[in-house]
Amino acid sequence: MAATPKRSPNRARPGRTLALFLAAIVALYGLVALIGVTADKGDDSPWHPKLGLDLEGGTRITFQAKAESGGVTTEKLDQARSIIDQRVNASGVAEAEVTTQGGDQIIVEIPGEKRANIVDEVGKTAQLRFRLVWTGNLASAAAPVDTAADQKVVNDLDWSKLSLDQVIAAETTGLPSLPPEYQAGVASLQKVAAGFTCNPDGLEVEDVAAKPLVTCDPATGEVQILSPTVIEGTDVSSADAVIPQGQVSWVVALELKGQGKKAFSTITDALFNQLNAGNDQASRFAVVLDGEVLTAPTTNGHFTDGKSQISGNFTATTSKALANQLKYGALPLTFSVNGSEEIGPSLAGSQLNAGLIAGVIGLVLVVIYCLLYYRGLGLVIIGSLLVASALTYVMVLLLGKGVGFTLTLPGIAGLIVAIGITADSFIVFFERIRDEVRDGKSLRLAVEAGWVRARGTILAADAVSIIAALTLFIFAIGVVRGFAFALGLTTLIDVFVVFFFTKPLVSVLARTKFFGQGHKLSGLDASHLGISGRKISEIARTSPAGTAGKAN
Amino acid sequence: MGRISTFGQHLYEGRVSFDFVGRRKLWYSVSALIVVLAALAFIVRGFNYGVEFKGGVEFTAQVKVANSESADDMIKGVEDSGVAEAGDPTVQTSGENTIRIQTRALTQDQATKVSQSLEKAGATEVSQNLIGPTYGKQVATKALTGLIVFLVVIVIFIWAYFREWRMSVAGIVALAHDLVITAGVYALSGFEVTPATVTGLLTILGYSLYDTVVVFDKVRENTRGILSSNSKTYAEQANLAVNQTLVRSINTSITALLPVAALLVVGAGVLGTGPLKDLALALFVGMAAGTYSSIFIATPLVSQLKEREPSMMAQAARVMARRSKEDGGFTVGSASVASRPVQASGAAKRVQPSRKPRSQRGKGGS
Repeated sequence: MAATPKRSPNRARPGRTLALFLAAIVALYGLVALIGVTADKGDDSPWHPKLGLDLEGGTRITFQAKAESGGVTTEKLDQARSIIDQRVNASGVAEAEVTTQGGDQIIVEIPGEKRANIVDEVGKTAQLRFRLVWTGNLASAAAPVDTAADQKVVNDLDWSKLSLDQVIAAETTGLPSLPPEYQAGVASLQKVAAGFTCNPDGLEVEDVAAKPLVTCDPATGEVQILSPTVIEGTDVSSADAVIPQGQVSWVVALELKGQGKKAFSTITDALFNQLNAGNDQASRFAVVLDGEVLTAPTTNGHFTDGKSQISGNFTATTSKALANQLKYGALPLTFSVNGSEEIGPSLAGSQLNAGLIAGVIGLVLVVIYCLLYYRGLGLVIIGSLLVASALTYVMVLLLGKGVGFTLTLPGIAGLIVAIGITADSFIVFFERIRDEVRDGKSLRLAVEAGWVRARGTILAADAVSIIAALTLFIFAIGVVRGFAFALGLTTLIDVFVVFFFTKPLVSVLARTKFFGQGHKLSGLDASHLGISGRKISEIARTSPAGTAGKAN
Repeated sequence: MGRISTFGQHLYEGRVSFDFVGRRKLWYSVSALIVVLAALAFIVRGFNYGVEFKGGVEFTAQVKVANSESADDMIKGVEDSGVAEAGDPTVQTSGENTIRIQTRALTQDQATKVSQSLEKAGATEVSQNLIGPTYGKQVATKALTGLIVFLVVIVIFIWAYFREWRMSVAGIVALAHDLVITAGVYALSGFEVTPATVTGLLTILGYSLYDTVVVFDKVRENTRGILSSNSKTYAEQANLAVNQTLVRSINTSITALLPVAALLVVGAGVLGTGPLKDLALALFVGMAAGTYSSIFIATPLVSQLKEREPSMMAQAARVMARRSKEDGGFTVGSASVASRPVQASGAAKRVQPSRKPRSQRGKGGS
């Protein structure tokens, strides 16, 4: 670079702008280094961009949410997202990422693994149900026992014929009170329960509303035989974590509506009597989410208005979590599979390589062209492109950490396409400078005058590019958004680089002898510009117009 | 390269001038012909929609060598999976060691079965992409919404920036021109239309207008205060603007097309199929058409619309009158612009030193 410029009479101090801008980039890299130092050992290195699944390999499943009533709201979708997140983790997949997209989609991304087969398990509609605890306090079996035959016996019976009173009586007076045709089923249920292992990392139970259920509370490991569903989760009208007046511990205030309210009154009437009789176990009912017992409290009141409180050893966090599960557990959202992708590591690797190769080739071609055409000024373009690349890379790193921006194949394509758009800003600027030089200005003046004219054009053109990127980002689906993001990011970077690097650099260079006096290789020499001294007007007068490209 | 610069100098001064604006009928006809051909190609051949739009499952199997033999193995693998719905798959080799197999819609379980069966049949790695029947429609709907929003925003932006609705109209016409041509070439190429293609098309929206904005900016500069000048008509100044930005247009196109060409070649050559190739083809054609249309369509159209204004017609008449007085019967027609003598140096005269006495010179433009 040129020697430090002397205090110029102009207010602008290009040298300082340049130094500040470069310092800012170095500071950004410093920030990345800082993240690297403070990061836990388990985290990925901050120096590698976060790669998308198409470049790393893995599984992506897209669920489309549909509301049965009331539309898909952000609140509902967020709740569904966390439920799906729990299910994915429960299915034994580590490091899965579950995100929402476009207001009605949920994306599950599992890096490095081909696990599209979890789609049915994960995407099923969340089911919250209230059941009675027919038999509780059973121990989990040490090893799983194959109870498929017994399960079949249970499934083959039509339990829906039982009345609510019969179901309640089975708890309050014991299972033998059930009609004789169900006794074989009861025996089978007990066998299933005896062979049941309570595995917190994914229960394998089939939760069918009208059938009894053997399952457990993963938090306590307690295995239970539960009655057919007595209240559907859709009958929950509200659930909130509160500390009742005059008390000190958290409870979950639950309110039921419709059928559930009536059934709850009947049930609590019968169960509360059991509690009063000192028969605690026969007064329990269970809240089951997706076949997993959330809580199985005893009944200490007869609730006729549907309002009740679930108490226990709740903290603020656990009571809120339970309240949310009760409220949204039976989300009126159903999911259909919009698509699922499994990308193997070698396909991902070759896509990454192809993207990088294309990027390098593209960059090299542009650099060669600029050098050939702009000679010395071409070096400025190369410098600017390098600075833009450095800035882009650090932004990709920081955005990856900050907002979870992942680099996908379309994203890389966006970055490559942006090389051309970035180079164009320099070209517009340089052509303007050359126009001014042709008008007879000295280079120093030409740079400033050309910049004023080029500035507006560059900003207008980049604004169009950013509008396009924004529109694409908002309206594109899936990985295509990575392209729009990359395009928008690089266009913004382009503006910064042109204003704070290229322009000051050219101003500084214009003061050097090499450029200022139009050295043969500077790209600004008279013959290169097509001006032979001042003889131009004479030539112009004598040469007939229309002889395109006739060199002097 | 020096020659291009010299050429640039000549263009800038108006010594060499291509008549982009005056011969607009010719350029319009050329474009109309290309657009009609593209539309025909589109109608006759149609788009070859990818699995993303049709719904179904696409398996990408990595094999040691992709040839007809290993492709047959893969077909057999699909048959052996016992999944009836996967019958009659489309199989094609892609790149050196990749085979793509497309089937109709399958459930996830069925897809997993086929995937496992393909691995048994000799594939070293099977990737699968299962697309629900609504996905393609969503992409198309979203893209269409995006298109409409973009057009509205951009019409307002150009109008606000240039304070000239005619430039908005011309920009949009040029854009439509680029999109139709790109769609036509895409149909002709037989490349699959995937979401990446749609991205490419939407990107062209931005690029094509980006290019047009750069040219329009020069047009605006050259025609500023034209009503109070009697030396040049709007059309002549607009034409000068296109010529002055021609070198920039050429350079920009080359620097923009080089990386896209790299994407296209690498995407088609190394990967065989995939988003890179789909995106790059749409971009390549669209960018080339975008440069063409900003020069040959957008600017002549602005000029044509502008000339219809009464004040511009009056100004043009004054210019004519003055010319016929000075030069003895000089008519401004499409052909005359190109053959007119040096005198027509336009806005460049602004600060250009010249040894000609003032009396022999045209009173320089702005």
